[in-house]
Amino acid sequence: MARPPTIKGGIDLKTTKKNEPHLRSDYDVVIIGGGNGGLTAGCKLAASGIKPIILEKNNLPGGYASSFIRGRFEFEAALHAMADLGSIENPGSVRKLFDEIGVKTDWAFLPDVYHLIIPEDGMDGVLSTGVDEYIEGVNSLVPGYKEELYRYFALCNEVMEALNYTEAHMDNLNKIYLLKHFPNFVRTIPYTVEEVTEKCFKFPEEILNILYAYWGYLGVPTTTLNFTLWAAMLAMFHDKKAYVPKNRSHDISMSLAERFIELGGRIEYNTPVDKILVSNGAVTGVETSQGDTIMTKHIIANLSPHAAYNKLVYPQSEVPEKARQLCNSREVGISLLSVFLGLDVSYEELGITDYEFFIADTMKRDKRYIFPTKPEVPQRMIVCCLNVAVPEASPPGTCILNLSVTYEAGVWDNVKQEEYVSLKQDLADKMIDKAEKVLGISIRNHIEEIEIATPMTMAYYAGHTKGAVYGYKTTVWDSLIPRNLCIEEEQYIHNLEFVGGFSFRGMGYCSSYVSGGIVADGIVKKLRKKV
Amino acid sequence: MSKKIIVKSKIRDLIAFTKLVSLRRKKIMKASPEKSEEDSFDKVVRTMHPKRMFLKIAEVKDQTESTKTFTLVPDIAKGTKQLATFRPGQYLNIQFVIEDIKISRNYSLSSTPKDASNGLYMVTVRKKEKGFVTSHIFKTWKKGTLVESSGPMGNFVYEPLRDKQNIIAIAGGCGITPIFSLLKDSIEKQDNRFFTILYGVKNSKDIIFKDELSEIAEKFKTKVNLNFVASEPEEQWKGPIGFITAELIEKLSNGIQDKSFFICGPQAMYTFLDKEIEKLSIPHRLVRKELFGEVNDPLDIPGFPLSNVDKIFTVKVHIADEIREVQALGKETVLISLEKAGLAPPSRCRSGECGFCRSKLITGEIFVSNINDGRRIADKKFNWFHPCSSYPLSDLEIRISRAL
Repeated sequence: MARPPTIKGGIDLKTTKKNEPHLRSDYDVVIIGGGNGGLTAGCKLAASGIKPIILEKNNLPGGYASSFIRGRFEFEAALHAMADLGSIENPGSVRKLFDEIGVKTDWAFLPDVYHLIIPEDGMDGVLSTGVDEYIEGVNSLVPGYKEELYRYFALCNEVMEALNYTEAHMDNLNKIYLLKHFPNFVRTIPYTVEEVTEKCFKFPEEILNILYAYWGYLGVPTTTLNFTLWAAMLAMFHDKKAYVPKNRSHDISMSLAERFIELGGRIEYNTPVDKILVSNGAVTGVETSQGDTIMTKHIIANLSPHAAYNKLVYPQSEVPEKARQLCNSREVGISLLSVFLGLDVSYEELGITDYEFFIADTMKRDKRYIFPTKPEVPQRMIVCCLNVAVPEASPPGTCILNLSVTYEAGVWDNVKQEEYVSLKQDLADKMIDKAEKVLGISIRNHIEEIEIATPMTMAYYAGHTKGAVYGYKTTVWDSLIPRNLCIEEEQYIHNLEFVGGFSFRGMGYCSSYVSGGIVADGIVKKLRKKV
Repeated sequence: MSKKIIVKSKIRDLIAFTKLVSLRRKKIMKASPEKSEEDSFDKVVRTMHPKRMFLKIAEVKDQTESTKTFTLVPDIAKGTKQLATFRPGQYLNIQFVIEDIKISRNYSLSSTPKDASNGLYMVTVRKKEKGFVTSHIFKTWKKGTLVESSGPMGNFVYEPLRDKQNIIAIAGGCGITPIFSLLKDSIEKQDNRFFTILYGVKNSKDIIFKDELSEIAEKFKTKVNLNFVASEPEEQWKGPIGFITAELIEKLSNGIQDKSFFICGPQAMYTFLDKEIEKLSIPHRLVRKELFGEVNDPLDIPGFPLSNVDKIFTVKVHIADEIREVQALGKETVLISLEKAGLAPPSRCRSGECGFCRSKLITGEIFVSNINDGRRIADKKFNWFHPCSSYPLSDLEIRISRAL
């Protein structure tokens, strides 16, 4: 099947290219990208006796779910908290999925959600996971609203249960059943977080300020964020609690990738897909930049529809107008600036008491969601110290600290490469200043390793438009339920299906894993029917 | 089930729900049907992180008897329109095809980011005795030769948030090239960095950038304190002689307090210098060391089994859908054996650091250099290794990726 490789480059590679190794088999399913969604889909398919191949552009699996080494530190690249893992006694969807495909990873439990510090509002408190614990925490900061908070969490739980039901019965969703058993779920689907929270509950501003601090986990302000996803996230967080991998995300990704191979799957690294071959509206195969041609009837794309439709579908005349309209209609989610610090001081000596700090200058309504339009330090920052959760994450007498801020898509558009390095250094400088001031700690004299990742780093590494880390924004019309309801009519190219943070289940590790599982199940069903 | 929630009104909530799909369709219908084109953000990302750069030699300058500086400019015809910016101290991974063998080597950029924005890079190469690649360079590289490389990479960079402005730069041999770039960049930027340079050479003929460095030191006395240290000096040599010891460092740099060390040279120099630096009790964070490509003699690596040097092993290599058997010498890294067999494996730093050559060890034993074991925790757990810093201790079966 393999085409003769194209000769590229300044050197005459003809003589050496001739004998170059290629992928010579065809596969039932080609998975483009070995990120969280692609790896999970791969495991599920391989476990069902289907022959899949994962083509990964980098030389390691996981996409953002990765790690990197500087000096004597191995930094977590992305994950702060895994929300839907759950315990062995109370497993969440990710644990169930991993158990099902036989993936084991070591996790560290996170007792607290976050330590919230809002200097201008005089707010400073640690909030724990678990509904009772969380409400108790809020009550100690703003007393008198326990009952209303319990009512709020009951609604969130209903939404989560309804979503679980919906996902299990996606094939023939009984809307009457939904209305009967989960009426509040149905009623709140068309609204934003603030519409539901503020019209149906009597919370004072101080409580809203604490509650809305969660928005960062979803990257969309509560003014436009859809309530469904928000409620499910809140319920999940407090029911299943939160975890981080002991050996960085690379361990999860490697566990999945190695399990995939054990199950009979094939994964080829350093193999970016150049073309998704399409004929008469259906996929027929892929071509890689290594010169491989693989024929297939099913493609799972663990990448953004933006990239697939604009760059990969070949010929481009096979991209329907509607697909382009879909891309252009959606709002690309946030990207981030992340400062990774390897410090030559333990977290205890440094004076860090909690795993994660949410710092916002203010959460007051009129200033809450003012975002910079240029690359400046935004008012909100997250400080995360891995060693508090995983003491052995770095050598004795050291610790790993991460400072992150988020940016709306487009903010970094006019940065020139000549000013890039000094710009990111300047921003990191200010972020370190802020962390030192707010937390009362001294970071500067302990920096042994420092790496500053920007939206441009993200765009380069994962190939996502604008360096987005959270997929498309989950606003009311583009949240989980409408995406799911339209999934079939939006499959513009037959058998080209999407998984991962840009897909139907929204952003985040859990959703990406679960999306891979759901799409794989669908393909297994289709392929079995044919037999 | 919680108490009934009504957001707007009983009816309006349900209508809003039923209209959700049509709302979505309307939103999509309103959007442009045009293909979105590459914008300025994408262009900057692509320029800064090119998959490959196509370059052309514009000038060749003799530096010493055995050293030349090559000026590289973008090869626009091949698709490189603009050079990627870099940070002084970074290098290019340059690809070669020599006698049908695809191989790569790293060369630190001896020019500055300002030069890059003016469309040129410089690399300074010293011809090694029996050097496979450097002989090729000296034989074939002339004005007009086309060169293919990676984008700039490497972590041997000045980081103002960590490093002190007062820098003690210690170089050996062609390890001066990144330091020369750091120094020139500091002068161009007119910043407050001060450089104490200790450059270990054999004799005065061996000094790369001798005139350039001396001129800078003369002109910028408040910025540079330049010292050449000769190990095999000629009679007329006036400067310090011998190796660069802790004592000499303290003496020439006028105290070591509150200064950052930037060290770049061959492994033999590190083996010696590590002990000297230890005597100075400098915090880890103030010592930056460039892992300067592979170790030429594995016996320089502490713990390397002497008996392995003369052994020859067979490596069964899975690459894409093929299996090849190659011969591997016990004294060479697995990466070099793969390259010699014409397999063109991926590689970048060649020092165990970057993980670009990351491969799966299916069976067999390897020796991993403890001076540059850059493997991630999970890679060790699942038997992945970096061929560029690993030596075979038995026959091996491995899976490698293809080079990008």
